[in-house]
Parts: sequence; structure tokens; C-alpha cells
Amino acid sequence: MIRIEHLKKKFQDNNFEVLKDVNAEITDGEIISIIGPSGTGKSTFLRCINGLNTPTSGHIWIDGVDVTDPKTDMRAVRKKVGMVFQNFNLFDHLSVLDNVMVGPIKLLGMSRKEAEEQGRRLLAQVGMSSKAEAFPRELSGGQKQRVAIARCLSMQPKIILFDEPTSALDPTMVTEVLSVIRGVAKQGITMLIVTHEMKFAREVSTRIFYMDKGIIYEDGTPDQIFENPQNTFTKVFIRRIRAYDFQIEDGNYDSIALFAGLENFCVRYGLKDDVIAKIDTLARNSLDICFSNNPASKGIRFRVTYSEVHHEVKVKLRSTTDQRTFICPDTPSPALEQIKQNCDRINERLEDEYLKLTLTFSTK
Amino acid sequence: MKTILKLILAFLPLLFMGSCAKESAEREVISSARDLTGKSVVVLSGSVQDIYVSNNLSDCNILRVDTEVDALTMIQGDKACGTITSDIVWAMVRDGFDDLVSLDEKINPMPIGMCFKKSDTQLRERFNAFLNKYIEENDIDSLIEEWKNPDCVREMPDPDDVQNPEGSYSFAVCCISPPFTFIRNGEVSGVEAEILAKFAMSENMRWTFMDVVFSGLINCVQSGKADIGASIMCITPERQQSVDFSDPWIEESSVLVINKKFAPAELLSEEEATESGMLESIEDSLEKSLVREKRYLLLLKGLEISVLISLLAALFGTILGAILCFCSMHRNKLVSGGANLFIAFMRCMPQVVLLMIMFYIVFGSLNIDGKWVAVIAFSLCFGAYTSVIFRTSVESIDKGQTEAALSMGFGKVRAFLTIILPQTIQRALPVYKGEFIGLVKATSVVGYIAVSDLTKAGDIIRSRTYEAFFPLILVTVLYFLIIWVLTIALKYVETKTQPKRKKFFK
Repeated sequence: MIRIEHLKKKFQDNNFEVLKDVNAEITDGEIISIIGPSGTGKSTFLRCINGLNTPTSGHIWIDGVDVTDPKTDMRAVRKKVGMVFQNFNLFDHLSVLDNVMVGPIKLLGMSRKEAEEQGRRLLAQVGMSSKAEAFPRELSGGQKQRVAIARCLSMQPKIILFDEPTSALDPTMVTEVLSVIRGVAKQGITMLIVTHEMKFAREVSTRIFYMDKGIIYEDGTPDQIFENPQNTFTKVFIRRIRAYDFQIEDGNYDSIALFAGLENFCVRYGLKDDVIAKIDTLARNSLDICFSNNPASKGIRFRVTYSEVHHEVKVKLRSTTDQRTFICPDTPSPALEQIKQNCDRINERLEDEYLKLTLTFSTK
Repeated sequence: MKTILKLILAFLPLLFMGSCAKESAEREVISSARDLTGKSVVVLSGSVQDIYVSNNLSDCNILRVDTEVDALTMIQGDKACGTITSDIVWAMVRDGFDDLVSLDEKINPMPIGMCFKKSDTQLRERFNAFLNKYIEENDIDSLIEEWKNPDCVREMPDPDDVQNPEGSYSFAVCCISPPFTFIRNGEVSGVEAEILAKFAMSENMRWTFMDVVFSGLINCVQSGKADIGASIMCITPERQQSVDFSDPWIEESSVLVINKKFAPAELLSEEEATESGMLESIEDSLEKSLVREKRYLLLLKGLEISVLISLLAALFGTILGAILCFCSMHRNKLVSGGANLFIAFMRCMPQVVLLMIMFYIVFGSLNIDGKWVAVIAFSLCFGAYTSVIFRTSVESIDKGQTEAALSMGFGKVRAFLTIILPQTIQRALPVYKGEFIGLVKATSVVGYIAVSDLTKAGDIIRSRTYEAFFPLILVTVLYFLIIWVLTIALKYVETKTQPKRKKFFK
């Protein structure tokens, strides 16, 4: 069991108080996802739990041991509390198998044979048996993270802290790592996961902490947090994370960055391929029409939203009023035809001094 | 041996290219020292000739070298027009330089004496008494003639013959000044060496010789590293300000030596040296450079010293480098600042300067062998250099790995030893290897503080054979061999630490 009371952390170098007053109680076997905007102390919170960061004040008890007490032997605590990092941090000079053997041999006093047996079993669990003899530099990001999880498990921890385990990965590799974490979640180990994968957080967690402004702003079941957030900040956050925004300054915008970000967004929400293709078509064609009608267009906000509840995707363009129209239905073009084919509703209107275009389609 | 000979043959054409002098339309003639105006004159650095030229021929371009042979070789190679050198030395070596000639003009006769520390008047008086008696009893001129002879059989006294000695004297000499002080059969010999040894015997003392560069003799005596310094040292007012001299025992004049092509007609004799076969002359040169007077012993001993200094300095320097690296990354600003200052200081100081500061100032009053001073000085340098290599290697390893190790339950020290250190070694080795090679070569300056390393051995041989070619080539080959062998050893370590070749848990 973990109990956290009035945890504060202020960084010496920039005098910034990341954690203002964090209180929480976590019982054994709970799986907790910590979500919230960047820079609100989620990672710092995790790092305080295993002592990689020293809190300014407050207490953390793990199974009755106060880890904030300077007299506590952190080495003993850390053997029980594993950590998985954003950047994997595998030991580069050791093979994959050695990475999962070094801890048990050097710290748990396991024999080489036992350690190898356990190591191979864990590698099989994360699907990395075939790479046992490989070195970290020969692995992809997702493979590295899977080995890192196996290494963490090799210490037989009671608690595992996941610090943004998929943030450094290509979208295509996120799934493999998440499925490994799902597997671990079934073993009854207490887990704290800092993540931006909302869909994953929602389905795997028993509880969600929404952290903002240095405190746990809202704490509740996944359904409460995602469907019925109580707090204003939580509401704004939940709404925003379901949207993809891109600011287009003028016709020379970075289209590669726009579509890469869009693809990332789609993958994160686990959208199906046909849905992704539709979004892509709508985005490309609407931007095409916009810039061919008015090549001097400036200051356009591009947004894609997805609602899990209504199973609905919206592609939106918003511009100031000097743009007369985005889509002129009177001048038919192949691009316009494609838009019509791919969406259910086209809506263009002037509202709050903005010209807004909304293309909506259902994913059902 | 065969390969060495082949290498030498390959180099020969280069030598001949250098000695092909360009013939000018109208022959320039130098008939007195004044004709040197505007030309290059080469002198032994710190010698009376140096002072004489600086004072009287200041409109010449003055070049300074450390051995007389270098000076003469430079004239042969047209790198200078002439040298002003001791007539005694010239008389010794003239046979080896067919294409050089001396003018009859005697320049600047000076008395010669041995030098003593200023405060040591008692020793000086005792020595003067001995010297005067010795001159009365022995004919100095015939003694000089005897030592000049290449087949000289005169024996040096053995310090071990002194029974129940009352102590030991240390004599600083410059061993490239035959027939006064030079190396024969691996031991310091010559007229002055003999006089000094006999003086020590008369006092029932043992003695040791320190071989230093000429310009360092006075420093050695001044700092108390040696009790008496000698090597046909002229008594000059400037020197007398720093040290005291014994009574003069001979007089030395200087002569101007020039290339024959500048010589006045009356000095040129018609006789022409008989050409000997090329292979024969190579064989002869090799014999002179290696075999005669057991000169190979000099090279072997020099090699041993060079290797010893390099290896010990590398060992201690690496340990120091690790400590400095640790300190410079320390959280305490005072510790890291101190370490960084030390590193910056060491890296900015030329190694020769550091070496001499260590020898003459830091350990000036301590009776310590120059070779240990060299080990200390090079350890300091090497430590400073390697600490930077280590530090960049440690810093290049992502902090995340340390955090990962800590979060598994490793202590800080164990995390470093098990996880970070092996990777540091891998990354540091390639640069470290280069630094190590640099160290081996840098040790070639230890001659400055009386250590006979490989380079110095080459110099000593050159001063006896009056040939630059073979001693220098031999020294080059030997350095190449040392570095080659040592690099292979490091390469072995490098492959050993490569993760591909290694199973962490055997």
C-alpha cells in the first residue's frame, strides 16, 4: 500500500514548485493512470515515489516504510518498486538477456541458472525471446521498451512505475508496448502509469488521477473522469485531448507536419484504417479548395475532433472573415465531389466573427 | 636486421638530396668572423660561443642547437654558413667532417673551470687544492690527447673501489663533450670525468654522474642537485653571478668553422677523399653507431628508460585522471573548481616547461633521480589530459542508465562500476590510445633533466660518431617499435571490452 501526504517538490535551480500538495492512497493491486497537461508534475510525482527525486516536504509510505525519511535504505525500497522509463534506458553494453539477468544476479543473489531461466521466461512473456542475444542498439524503440519492462519484472517488484512508456515511440510501436503493459496489469502488481494514451488509460486503469497545477485535481474511475468530469480544468483537458489542432499561417504551411500529427492522433485513438482514410481525404481536399479559391489565405486553424460517445469525426477549418468562403458549392470540382462522397454533413457559417467550415461523418 | 637495412637504404636518397649544394656563379668567401654579417651562424645554446656571437656578431642570424654535432651537420647541409665552436672540440671531430674547414683566427680565448654552488666555498677550496696538485703531477695536454684517441684504453676509476665511503658526490656533466665528458662503453668518461672521480676518491667519497644538457648544468649546481658541474665550461662574469668557479685549469679558444665552399683559397688542400663503396660505408656507419664502444647498450638503456617512464606515467596518470575526472564532476563547487583549474593549468603548460619546473624548482633541493621526476611530471600531464577524455566519455553515457540502475536497487557506486564504467572504457579507449602515443613521444624531452632516454642516447651517439643519419634512424625505428607494440596491447584491451565479443556473465 502507498500513502502520500502533503507532498511538495520545488526545484532548486529554477525555484519552480512542481508539486504543491499531493495526497493519495493507493491499495495493493490498483492500476492507476496519471493524466494531465505537460509540465504539471506527473513524472516528478512518480520519481518522488522511488526516490529519484527528493521531495521538499511531505511523506510517502510504502508498506509502512517512510521513503522520505533520509535514514531509509532506498536500495531496499527500490528493489520492490520497479520503474519503466520514457527513454527505455537499457544497459547498452549488455545483451538483451544480460539486461534481464544483471539485477537478479547482482541484487537478488540469484544463481546464474535461475536468473537465466527467469530471464528467458520474461523475454517470452514480452515476445522478445528471439532477440535474447541481441544488443539494445539493434532493437527498435518498441522492442527496447518491451525489454525494459522485462528487466523491471526481473526484480520481481510489488509496484511498477511507468513514466510515459510510449511517449518516445513511433505511433506504430505504441500498440505492442501497450499490449505488454496490459499483460503485466493482469498479474496483480500495483501500477502507476503516467500516460497520454487516453484510450489505453481508460480501459486498463482501476482509477485515474487527473493532475494539474501541482496537485491531484480530480481522482475517480475512468468512466467518471472521461465521461463526467466534475472539475473545470478536467473538462477542458478531456475535451482538448479529443481534438487535433494545427495552426496554418499561410499557403506555405508545413503540410508534412500537419498530416504526420494527424496520423499520430488517429493512431492514438485507435481509429480504423477506413476512418483514417476518410479524415485524410477530407483534410486534403478542403485545404486544396481553400487555397485554390484564395491563395492568399492567412491564419487558418485546422482541427479534427473525435467523439467516442457519439462515434463521430469532425474536420473543421476556421478563418477570420476576410475569407469569403471555404467551399463554394456553385463551382463544382473533383475535390468538392470527393468531400461530398466522404462526409455526412457540410456546414459553413459565420459565427463570432469567424468563418467556420465543419465536415462531419459517423464512424458507426 | 635485414629489414632495418632495407629501411635505411630507402632513406638514403633523401639524405643525398639534402646534401646536394647549389653552385653559385660567383664564389662567396668567408675569411673572418666579420664576413658572417647577415648570414646564419649556429652555436651551442648557452655556451661561451653563444654569448660571444650575441655580443659581437649581433647582425647575424643566430641559430642555437644543443650539440656540436648538430651545429656541424647544419653547416654541411647548408642550413647555416658557419659555427663558432671550441677549438678543442673541433680538433676532436674535424676528421669526421671532410667538407668543413676552420679558419686560423683564434676567437675569444676563455679560461675553463668547474662550477660550484655559491655557498659551497669549502668544497671549492678543497677541490682547488686537489686540482692544482693534480695539474702539477700530471701533464694535462697528454691526458687530453690520450682521451681523444678513439682506441683509448684509459680506465675510469670505479666508485665501488672506495672502501667505507663517507658519502657520495653528485657531478653534473654534459655527456656530449668528448674528450672531456662523454659516454664510453656505457659509462661517463673523459678528462674532466676522471679529474672529478679522482677528487672524490681523494676525499674518500663515492660519486655519481648526472648527464644533463649543457644549458642545464648551472641550474643543476645552483639548485643543489649536483655538487660540482663540469663540461669544458668557460668562466664568464655572467656565470660567476650564478655559481662559483674553480681555478681555471685549461684555456679554450673558439674557431670559426665553415663549409669548404666558402673557404679562402689558401685553406683548401688539393687532396680528395677516396670514395669508398656505398655498402661498405653503410656497414661502417652502422658499426660506428651500434657496435663500437658498445653503443647499442646506450640505445637499449635509453629504450628501457623511455618505456619505463611511459608506462609508469600512463599508469599513475590514468589513476590520477580517474580521480580528477571524479573531482571535476563533483557536486561541491570547491572540489570541481579546484580540479578544473588544475586540469586547465596542466593542459596549458608545455611539457618541457613543466618537467623543468618540477626538476629545478619543485624538487630542486631534493636528491631525487630525474627519471622519477619525469614520471611525476608526465603523470600529472597525462592525468589532466585523460581526465577530460574520461569525463566526456562518462557524460556521453545517458544519465538514464544510471537512473535505471538506481531504480533497480543498485547503490551509486555499484551502478557506476557495473553499468557506467564498462561503457566508459569502451568509448574512451580510441582517444586514450592516441593520447598514450602522444605521451610516449612526449617523453623524448626528458633529456632536459639529466635522464638518458632513447632520444638522449641517440644524441650521445651522434656526439661521438659525428653522424646524424644512423642514430636518428635507429631512434625512429625504436620509437616506432615501442609505440607499435604498446598500441597492439591497447587494441587487445579494446576488443576485449567490445560488447559483441563478450558475454557479461561467463
